[in-house]
Amino acid sequence: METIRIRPKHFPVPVAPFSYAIKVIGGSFMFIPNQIPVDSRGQIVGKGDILSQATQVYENLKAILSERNVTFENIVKLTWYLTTRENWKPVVEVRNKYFKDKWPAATFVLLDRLSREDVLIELNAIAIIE
Amino acid sequence: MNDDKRGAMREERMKNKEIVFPKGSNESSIFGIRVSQAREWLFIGGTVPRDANNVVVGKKDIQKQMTHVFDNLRDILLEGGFTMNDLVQLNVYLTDESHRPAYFELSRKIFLNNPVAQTVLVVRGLNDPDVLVEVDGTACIT
Repeated sequence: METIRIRPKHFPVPVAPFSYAIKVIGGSFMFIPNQIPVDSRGQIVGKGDILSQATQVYENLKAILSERNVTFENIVKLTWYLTTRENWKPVVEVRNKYFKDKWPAATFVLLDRLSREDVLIELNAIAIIE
Repeated sequence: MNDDKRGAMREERMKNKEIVFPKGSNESSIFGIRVSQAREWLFIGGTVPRDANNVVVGKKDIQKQMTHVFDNLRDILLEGGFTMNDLVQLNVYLTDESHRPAYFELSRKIFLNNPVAQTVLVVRGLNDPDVLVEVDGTACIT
């Protein structure tokens, strides 16, 4: 399996840590549905606290990836859903604790409401499994 | 590569990628795309109407922004060794309902002979308030 980060020559180096696109040759995939900030008992954590909620979402994602012995480096696509633009900065802060330098292709979407009340962030991902 | 070999490769690709329409339906939007034995995949992040200097083009002009987004998308595909025909799935995010007709008109032209599994959503906002349209998706080569 091989992954190649794609950037057309005339495209600027991304200002934010993301990749324009990732090409994958071979390998298998894991499609991870929207993760919300719930603990293992299904309780929403950190009501009104975006830092706690973002951390919980990334911890849930980490737990899923760990089940197949892969890490955040294996994520090729990530989509974030937030309810306010102001939460973007803290979410990036949390993200930077989990990703080192191999950035996924990413999309950020602002929505009025998410799937459950009190949820400030949802995130889904596609990861490659070797 | 001779024509026979090229023809055989094309046939093989068609066998591995198929637009599936239900029997008895005349509605062109009811279909699925079956892909098997893809050799290469391309996962494309949110593509926005920014130029080479990272400046958003066509502020408040949805036509210009849509055209630029698809130009950027085409460039990303080409850089990876793919074409628009290799797209299998696309998410389109618009920030204003009134832009839907313009998008569908453009989409019909672009994907006339190459259906793609599309989801078009109207959302409250995107990464930059000046961005009116963003597209992400997946392409593959069989």
